[in-house]
Amino acid sequence: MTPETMSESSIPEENRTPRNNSPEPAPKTQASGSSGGSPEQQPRFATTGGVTPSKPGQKADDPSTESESGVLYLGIDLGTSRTAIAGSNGGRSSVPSVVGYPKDVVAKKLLGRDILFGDDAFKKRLSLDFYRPLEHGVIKYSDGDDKASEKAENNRRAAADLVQEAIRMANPRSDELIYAVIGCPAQASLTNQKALIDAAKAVVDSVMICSEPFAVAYGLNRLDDVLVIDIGAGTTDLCRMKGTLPDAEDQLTLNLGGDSIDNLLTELIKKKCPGSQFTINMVKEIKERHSFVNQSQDPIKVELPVEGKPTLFEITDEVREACRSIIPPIVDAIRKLISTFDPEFQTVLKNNVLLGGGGSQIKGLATALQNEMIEKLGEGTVVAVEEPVYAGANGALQVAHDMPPSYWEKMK
Amino acid sequence: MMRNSLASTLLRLVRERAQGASLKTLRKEGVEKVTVLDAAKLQELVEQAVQQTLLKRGIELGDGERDAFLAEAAEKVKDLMHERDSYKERTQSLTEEKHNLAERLAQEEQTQESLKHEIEHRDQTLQAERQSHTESLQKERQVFEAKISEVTEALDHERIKLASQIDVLKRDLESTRDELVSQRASQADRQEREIELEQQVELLAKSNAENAAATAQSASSPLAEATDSTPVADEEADYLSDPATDLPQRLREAILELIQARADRQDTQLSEEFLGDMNSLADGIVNISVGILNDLRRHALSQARSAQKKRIENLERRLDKLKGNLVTAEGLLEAAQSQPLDDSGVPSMYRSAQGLKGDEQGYESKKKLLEEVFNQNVLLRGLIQEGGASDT
Ligand SMILES: Nc1ncnc2c1ncn2[C@@H]1O[C@H](COP(=O)(O)OP(=O)(O)OP(=O)(O)O)[C@@H](O)[C@H]1O
Ligand SMILES: [Mg+2]
Repeated sequence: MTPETMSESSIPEENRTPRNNSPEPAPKTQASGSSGGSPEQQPRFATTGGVTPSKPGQKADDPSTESESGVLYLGIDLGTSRTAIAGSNGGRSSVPSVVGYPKDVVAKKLLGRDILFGDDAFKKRLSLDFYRPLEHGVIKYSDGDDKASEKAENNRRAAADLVQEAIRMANPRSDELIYAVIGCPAQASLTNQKALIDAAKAVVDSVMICSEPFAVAYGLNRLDDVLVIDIGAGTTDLCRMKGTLPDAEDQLTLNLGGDSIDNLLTELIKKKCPGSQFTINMVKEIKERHSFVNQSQDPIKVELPVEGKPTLFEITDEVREACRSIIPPIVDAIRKLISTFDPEFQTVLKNNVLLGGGGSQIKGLATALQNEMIEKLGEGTVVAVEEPVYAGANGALQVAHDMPPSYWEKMK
Repeated sequence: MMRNSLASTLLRLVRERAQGASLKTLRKEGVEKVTVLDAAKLQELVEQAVQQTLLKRGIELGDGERDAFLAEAAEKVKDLMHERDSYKERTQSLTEEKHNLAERLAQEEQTQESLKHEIEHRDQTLQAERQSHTESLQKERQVFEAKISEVTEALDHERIKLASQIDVLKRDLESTRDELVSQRASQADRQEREIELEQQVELLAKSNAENAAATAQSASSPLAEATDSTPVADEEADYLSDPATDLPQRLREAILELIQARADRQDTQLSEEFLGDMNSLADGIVNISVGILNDLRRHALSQARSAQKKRIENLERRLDKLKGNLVTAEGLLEAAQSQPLDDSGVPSMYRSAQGLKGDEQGYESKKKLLEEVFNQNVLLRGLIQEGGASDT
């Protein structure tokens, strides 16, 4: 089959531009539209996390909320492994979703802080009460029987602190109105959502929550007949869009993703390199550097200590096998979502698969998924989003920007 | 037998060193005729040569001697041939060595060449790297410069704000100062008047003394006594000693006139005694009245003075406070200037709230979706407020 012309909003991962984390990326715009945008389309989605500046002469839906000091929009993507934020001040940052509090007074004095985030927290975790507040896209222990327990409370507090840290990272001015949209996993519970809203409300003027795959699709202006796949750390979320807000039956969550690849790769390396010593983190690093799924590949060689002595091992096949492990279940899930879709539009949906999330950075994954779809489902076109780490945050930012001001007023 | 051995030795040696060549090859090389020596002939030639040499030197040898000699000669020839052989071998090995050396030289030259190439190549890559480095540095610098100019702008803004605040404070301070100055001026005015009053008191005191001296000459009048006993040392001016008002005198005269008038109307002749009594009565009334008036006046004056003092104190306090404010403001300004990046934040690109634009592609469907998102949030807030936040 001939690959469908891709909208410029998403290019195959092989051509993906490198991620750009500089504080002030050169503004580049890209046109995007549902199923192949026309060339004269207005560029309206800025990959820099900015949203289209208002053109003079154009009026917002509700001009009553004119403000002297400015309005800052924020889009936040709260992920299991990484929290990302994009702001209408051009700011974009991300931090690993881990939070630590000094265990005791001594630790506090030594660390000189009451709370640590991300890599900082990870490095000092031995002297910290250490939390990864999100698991499978929701705050840990916050559902079910445990939800009133102390650990649930602690995890909620950590999640709240994380949201506030993300907002701080956007470097807002204290004199501006702040409107934030938090992209939150579709299956997040009420208790979770309340915790996030409370945390955000403490530092912003108005906050709304929206489903994360919806935010991704909205940000890429692909709201009709598109299947969004978000390969995260703990889960892979699939969501089909049909011009309305997705509901439960439009979504599927698989308990696999970056973490499951790490676990499998650990087993495979243990077998291939007997006597070698390594941690799951080292495996994750190896994966993030070398991940691939296609056939031809330069051999992957890594140095692992054997009884303290660095020893070179070749693990090309192991990396490939681990990375490929997610392909069959994902295609299976795609099949499920497509088979329950309006038959008339099944073909369109198959040929509009958007791949995002940190896991979509595996080299050749879009092509491999596409091949597997063609083999199992007869056809398929898969493209990877340009900026997997910021796709959710950018989308949430666009939702925040487009939300009528009167709605924001009512949410205060 | 000896001869044979010589011959065979020679033959062997020659054979060993002879190069085999077919006649054909020789012909090809242009050789037409070949002199062929057989071993016997060779031996004969050698023997002849030896004998002739010996004969020339006058040495005649017997058969046995000759044979021994020939054998010796054959040995010698053999040795010489060997020597020649070893020389040849050495030459050959030297030549080989030379060849090897030449080859190695060539190799070295090649390595050098390729090294040169590599160096050139590395130079080029280095240069390219340096260039890209410089470029990225330049880019970084641009970003940095943009940031600095942004910060500078924000700082300028802040500075202007503070300066205007300071201006307001200064103006406030100045007006307070003006007020204070005018207050002080009016105070000075009063003081001047007080000084004047004091001078008048002094004058009065003097005239009183003169009066007293005069009355003392005629009679010891109670008024004079009373006047004398009236303390004028008080720093406050009093009516008794105020020559401008001459109040006591007029009061006394008025009382006496009143009594006289009454007596006149009733046609009563007033006795000297009665008049004396009336005089001392008048003196008493005058004294009491003046005392009361003086008290009232003193009281009023001191009240006015303390009110004045309070006002001045108030003004001074206000001035101090304003001065303090000015110092704080200046401190703040200084702090703001020395810490330009402190908590400034990056401003949004929007001055006002935005919202979906009507000409946006897919406006209608997006509007609907955003409304749905909003409604879900309203619902969520409702559920949360219901308090339950209990999960579904
Ligand atoms: N180059 C890479 N190749 C393969 N995997 C990668 C690469 N870079 C990051 N990852 C993996 O992506 C995962 C994180 O993805 P992402 O940031 O989208 O997760 P998340 O949004 O925090 O998780 P979730 O969506 O489950 O809440 C991690 O497992 C990480 O190891
Ligand atoms: Mg995610």
